[in-house]
Amino acid sequence: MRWRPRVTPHLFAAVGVFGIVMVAGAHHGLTVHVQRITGIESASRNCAHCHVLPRTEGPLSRFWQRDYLSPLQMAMTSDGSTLIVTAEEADALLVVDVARGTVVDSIPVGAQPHSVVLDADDRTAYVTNRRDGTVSLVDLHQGVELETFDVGTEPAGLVVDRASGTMFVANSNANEVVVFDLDDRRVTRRLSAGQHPYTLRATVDGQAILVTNRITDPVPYRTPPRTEFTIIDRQARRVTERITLDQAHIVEGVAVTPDGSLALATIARPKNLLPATQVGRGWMMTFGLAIIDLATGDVAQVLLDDVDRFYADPYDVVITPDGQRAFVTHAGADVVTAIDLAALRGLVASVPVDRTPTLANDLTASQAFVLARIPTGANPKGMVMSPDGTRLYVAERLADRVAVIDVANLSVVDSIVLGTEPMTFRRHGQRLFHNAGQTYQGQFSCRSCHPEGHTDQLTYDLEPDGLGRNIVNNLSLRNLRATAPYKWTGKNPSLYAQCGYRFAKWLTRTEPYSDYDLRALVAYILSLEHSPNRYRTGETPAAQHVRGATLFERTVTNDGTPIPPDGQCVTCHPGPQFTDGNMADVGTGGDHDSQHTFDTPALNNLYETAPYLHDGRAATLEEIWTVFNPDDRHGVANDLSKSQLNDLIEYLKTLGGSGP
Amino acid sequence: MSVKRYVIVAVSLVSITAWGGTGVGHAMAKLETGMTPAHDSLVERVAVRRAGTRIAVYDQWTSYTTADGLPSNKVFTVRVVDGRVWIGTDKGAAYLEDGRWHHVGVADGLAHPVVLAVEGDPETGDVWIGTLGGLNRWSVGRMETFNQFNSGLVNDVVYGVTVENGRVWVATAAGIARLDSRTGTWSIFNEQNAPMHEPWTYGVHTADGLVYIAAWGGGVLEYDTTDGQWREFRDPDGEMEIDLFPNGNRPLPR
Repeated sequence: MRWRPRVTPHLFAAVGVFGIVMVAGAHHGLTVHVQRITGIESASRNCAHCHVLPRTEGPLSRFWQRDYLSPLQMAMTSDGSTLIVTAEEADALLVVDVARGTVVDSIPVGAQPHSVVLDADDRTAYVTNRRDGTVSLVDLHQGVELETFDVGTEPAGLVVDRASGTMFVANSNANEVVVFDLDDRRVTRRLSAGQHPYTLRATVDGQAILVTNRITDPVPYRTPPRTEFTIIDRQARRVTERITLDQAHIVEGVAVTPDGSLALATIARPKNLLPATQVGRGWMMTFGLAIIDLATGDVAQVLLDDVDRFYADPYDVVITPDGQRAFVTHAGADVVTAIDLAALRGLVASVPVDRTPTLANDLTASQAFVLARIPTGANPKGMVMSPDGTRLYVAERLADRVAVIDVANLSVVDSIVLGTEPMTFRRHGQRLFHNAGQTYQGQFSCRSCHPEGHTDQLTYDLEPDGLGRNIVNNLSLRNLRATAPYKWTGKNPSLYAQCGYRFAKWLTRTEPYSDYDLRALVAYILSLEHSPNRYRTGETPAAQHVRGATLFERTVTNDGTPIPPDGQCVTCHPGPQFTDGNMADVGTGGDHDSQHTFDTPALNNLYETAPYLHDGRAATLEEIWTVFNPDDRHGVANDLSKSQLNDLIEYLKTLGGSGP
Repeated sequence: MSVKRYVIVAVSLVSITAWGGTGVGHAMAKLETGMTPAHDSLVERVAVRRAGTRIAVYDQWTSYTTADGLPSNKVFTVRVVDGRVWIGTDKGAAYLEDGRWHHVGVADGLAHPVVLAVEGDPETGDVWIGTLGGLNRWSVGRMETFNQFNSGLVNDVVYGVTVENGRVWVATAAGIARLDSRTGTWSIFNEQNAPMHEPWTYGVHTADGLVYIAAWGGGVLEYDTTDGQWREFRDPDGEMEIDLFPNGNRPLPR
């Protein structure tokens, strides 16, 4: 007898209903899960976007991750045959045969190589390694790192003074330029620079060294930025002049005209104290050059932007040997601007001194001196000119290529491929982060306010609530994982919400990121890490740090009075991120604030994130408690002696970041 | 106290300098022979004195007063830092450069007009200025203020400043504050962790890794930076004359 399954229509119906319920339930559960994590109702439910593609560790991650080079800065041999390129993410120095357009050697150096300088014989290279705090001495012929020198904290710019056997190094995270004796192999002089010194450049006569500084000097509360441009006497080894660049910051590249008369430095001019509604009027962030008369110290600023198009994040500037043209990379616009220097000089000379502040805000000025906008690959950074002045080489950092520009024709004539091409999820997010294409008229990129994912240390008027209300202190984007919610107001439960529709509506004033772009951007941001913590230098904590930790975790005052939990530091700032993720009113809200409860900030590497409190009114950590905590609402601290407060603050500086 | 005698006393007790702060009411004076030669000659003369021969008599001086550009004739301190002559007065600090006195006052960021101490950091070229309202760092025109509210400075009344291997020692009315200028780390020494009877400290100086502190009622304290040990120089008979002896067997530094 033939077997026949006893399947009835009812059973089919039951299985079908069960299946539908299961699928619907799973779909609902997934929706709830995604909404809970992202805070966005319409977020994509693609599991891979969160659970696979961002992962950088594990044996399988090699299938979706790539090792990138990220060329940053370059030097060229005196015969123009070889480019030497720092590969920031590969911890290597690349040797590139220009004629063949190929990488002929990759020499391991320290972590996060930054600047490179060649010795006169083109055989030896000096390379600053930011994450290591070292300078590598490299034999280019043998292709080996000969020696490393400990020079300080996050060395960036470098000038080698061969005559005296010394080198000048900008220790960016210590706000100093050190003079390092190459014979004795030690620092012999530490010169106080501005905030976050970045590029060093010798003048034409070699007598002075120019220093750009990225971050504004400390300014009074609700005051526009002003950033120092430092000049050092090379022989005397002392600072001779501190020139103020008013209302400018993120000063990175600098070049000197061949006649030695002018220095051109790249600048950003943020209108951080104007409401962000100005973005819609094309007036939030502008970019340009500071033109410094090296004889008089006079400064003029000009914008490189157009009236309806901005060229974000100028990074490097190079001048042709004949002094006729200058070139500026715009890392946020994927453009190199070519400048007629004679026209620029003429424009500046035509403006009376008392009108130079007006010139600094004139969006039409660039029409007088810009020769061309030359498109490049992603994130153009450092440049180098061939010795004969005919070719300009541009490091396309996030394309892993070098563009070759014909200086006469002002066009890209070649591209040297350095590394891998495939685009990973994180790399895509990295490009979005560094590109201003998503903002109205290309006014700014994420990086414009968060250089290297950190903070520009300014306060901003972001909310559309009128002039001067709800000023907020810009925060670092490093180590953000597990620190939700976001914004000082705690309005955004996730970075997806932070960088999503509201961000587009109120800040970028353009279309929001696509779901894929948004997730890639968030994946990149979540991968950002703090620098090594410079206060965690030994395996054993210093006695002062131990005392500070005890105060951080104390439950009674000096006289034995119990401290309620909400008055104890560790209640709101528990490790490992040192935030409980809750809102708190610590008595710092003012009349200009719409709310007096604020998101409890994480404390990692807080020593490099001044100013403090939600609106940046505390210039130093000390002021949080000596000035802005009169009623012990921001932790019970008024019974502390000055010695105890010092101990507590020194302990706080050790929190977070990497280190022993 | 005469100008000449003041310089000689300064040489024998504190340090060798070509410049003499003459105290309240006496403005400034310098040797006519100029800064560098005078410095050398002073060194030579001290050496001569130590050798037992007679002390040379200086008889050619240039006096500086407000008529020459000083902010005030009440001069409390003088130092030569990185080629500039610095003074502290009751109306701010000033430095002599290229034959002209440049004033540094409250409008320039000085914490308080009364300047009691000036010291230079040979490693950085920065000038540390002690005032009755806090500590200042002058670095080629840029002025920073450190006080008890915005920094780890223990007290705003600063009587003395010295720099030792990148560490700035500050004598204040509430003890010694020490700033590691390389890291920004502050430490405090007072009656709780140093052999001071009272926290008031009026002077601080350093040489060869040793830091000397003038402490009210506590004599002179010596701090050895190599091992963190203190040594006390006290008045053994309780009388207030100058007869300091070490409370220990270690010989005095040369």
